[in-house]
Amino acid sequence: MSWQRVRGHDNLVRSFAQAKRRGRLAHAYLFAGPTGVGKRLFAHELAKALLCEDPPETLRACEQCPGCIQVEAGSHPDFFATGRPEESPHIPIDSVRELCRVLSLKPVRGHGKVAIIDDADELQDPITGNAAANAFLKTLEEPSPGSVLLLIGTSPDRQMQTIVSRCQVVRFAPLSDAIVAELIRAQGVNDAALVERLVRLGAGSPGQAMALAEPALWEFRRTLLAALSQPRFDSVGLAKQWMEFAEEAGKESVAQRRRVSLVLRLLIDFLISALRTLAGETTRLREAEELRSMSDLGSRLGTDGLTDWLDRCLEADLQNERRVQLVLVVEALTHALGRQRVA
Amino acid sequence: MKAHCPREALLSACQLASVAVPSRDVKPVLRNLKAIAKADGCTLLATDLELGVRLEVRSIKVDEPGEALLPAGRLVAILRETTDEELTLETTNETSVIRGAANEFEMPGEDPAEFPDIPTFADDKHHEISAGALREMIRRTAFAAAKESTRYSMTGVLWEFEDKVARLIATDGRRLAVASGPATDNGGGDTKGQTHVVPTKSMALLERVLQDDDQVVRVCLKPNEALFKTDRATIYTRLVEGRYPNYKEVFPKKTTVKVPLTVGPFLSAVRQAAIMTDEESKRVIFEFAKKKLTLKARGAESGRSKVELPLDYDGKDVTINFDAHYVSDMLRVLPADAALTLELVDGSTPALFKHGTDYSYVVMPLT
Repeated sequence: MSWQRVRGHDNLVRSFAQAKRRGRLAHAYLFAGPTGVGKRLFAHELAKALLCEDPPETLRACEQCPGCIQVEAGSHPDFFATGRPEESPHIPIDSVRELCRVLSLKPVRGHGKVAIIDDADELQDPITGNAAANAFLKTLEEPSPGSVLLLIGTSPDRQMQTIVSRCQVVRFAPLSDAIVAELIRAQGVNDAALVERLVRLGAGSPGQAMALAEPALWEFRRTLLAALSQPRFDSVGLAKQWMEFAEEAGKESVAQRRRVSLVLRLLIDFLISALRTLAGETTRLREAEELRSMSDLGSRLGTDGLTDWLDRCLEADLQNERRVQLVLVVEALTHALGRQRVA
Repeated sequence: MKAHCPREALLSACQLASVAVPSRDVKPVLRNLKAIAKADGCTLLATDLELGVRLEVRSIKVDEPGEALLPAGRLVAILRETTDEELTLETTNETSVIRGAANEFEMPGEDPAEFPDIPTFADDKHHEISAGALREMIRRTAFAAAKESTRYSMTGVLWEFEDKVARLIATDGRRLAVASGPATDNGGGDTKGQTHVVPTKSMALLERVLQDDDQVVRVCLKPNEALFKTDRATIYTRLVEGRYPNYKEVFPKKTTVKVPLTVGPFLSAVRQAAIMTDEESKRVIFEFAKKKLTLKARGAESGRSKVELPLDYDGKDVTINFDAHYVSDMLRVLPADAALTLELVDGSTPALFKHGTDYSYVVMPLT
């Protein structure tokens, strides 16, 4: 059934249907919202509904016509999807040019054309500049009649002004904890405590929550926290361990960076909780051992120490995102955490 | 399926069909050629979803009809590298095997049903053009289309049919080529008010399948796609969207200067003069005077050139600057002994080259 897989965005589905009914669909949309809340799935469902050749009602795909089946199989001649290749940190300009070129062809099945540009945040790139985004502007401003372009990003702030001004921004809200928990369980995570933790960490994003579900990640978190709880820890050794863990993710630096970023997320979450515990928050249920290590760390570092650590972690996350060499990011972080303890 | 294939014939057919095989990674299944063997011959299919071709290979002897997918790149390599007169092709659902006298190549098979269908030429309403005339028209226009442009409609060739005349138009905004030829209307009707722009890649493939001059090519233009059919091949192509520039407006209205030229000597003079142009400026100065044309070029580092060409011209003196490429591109597609007329107003308005009544070429001068 159409739209069934899209959870928690019923209001958006309704407003798109209404726009369609009134013939007021825009030619380009920028989907903005946290990673992992279902924007891509929404875009695919929307594409299918737009290209459906026999819709039972407005903007609802029949799932039976050749149009629907071909979108689902990825072979629809008027449906294009592009995004950041797995191994690349940004969208190559050639992908954008190719997309613009195929969009310039007349539709084959006669129900308009739909293009999805995934990872649209990566249209800009700190190293190659904005060439890919610029190559896209002309097509984005005036796509051929009947075309709908769907850009998927996290925030309009991550886009060039010239891109944002050509799109209608559609904001995706985080999902409710109940839906996130349900989706996590559907993925086969049954440990109630883990589910609860993931829901909290996901902050309304099943995708992000599931990224943290990997057991190895929690294993490493234990190692990391154990090291950090020592008054004097071996920062060089810890950095080495951390890098080894990152390299297990694969040879591509993109995968390694993702893993380091996930570890940082867990560490930041731990520090925030420790800060809250120090401030006297008691409402959140947590395992006793966890609580103890939090209060130990809190009492030793104090509020100032904890916030210093948090600052360092956030800085490392930013450096990681800006593609500073990974070894340097990790070593600088562990070194800084180790030094502050002495002071 | 099982078939005996003459190697050379199959190789040339596969190379031709390979033009439609996508070079970039789209869908893996499209990197194949689909072979459909029937009792009376074999058809090869290739497509990149934008352009599709069906090619009949008649000299193949089919023992056992059937369908198969064959990886285009490997197949061409096998046919090119082997030296046998004849190869045996045998396919099952699991494997495809090609055998020669002293060699054997086995490739994993794929499901032929996964290959997208390429439309066949079924429409009765179409136009007919002779292959020789059409090939000449394509040769004379396709080069003028824009190579890369964000105005996508200019990256293709515009087709028009009007009063039993077929017209091909191509432009990149700085030069414009229009070629026309006789056509028979079999219910296709005039194309007035419609835009049919065929991508240059499809035009190149079409030009390659037009081998026999006396053949008739059937052309069917639909709103979003076009089909071309010769005896052996059917080509399907999607059309480019967008408004095509109003090319008729580009032609200079009242030309005051008419210079008769012959292609061969003129091309030779232009190429000689162009030797001294440099990367920055491709400018060649054309000075038309009584009985004489002087071509001059000067490059910052390369030096200067001066070439004179006797003319049968008695009009007023005119000086006009062209990018040498834009002139020589056009001269190269015409026979060396062909007569050409250059029509001008002055040095700053578009110049019109005419060859007979059915080929015109407009170039913007450099200022």
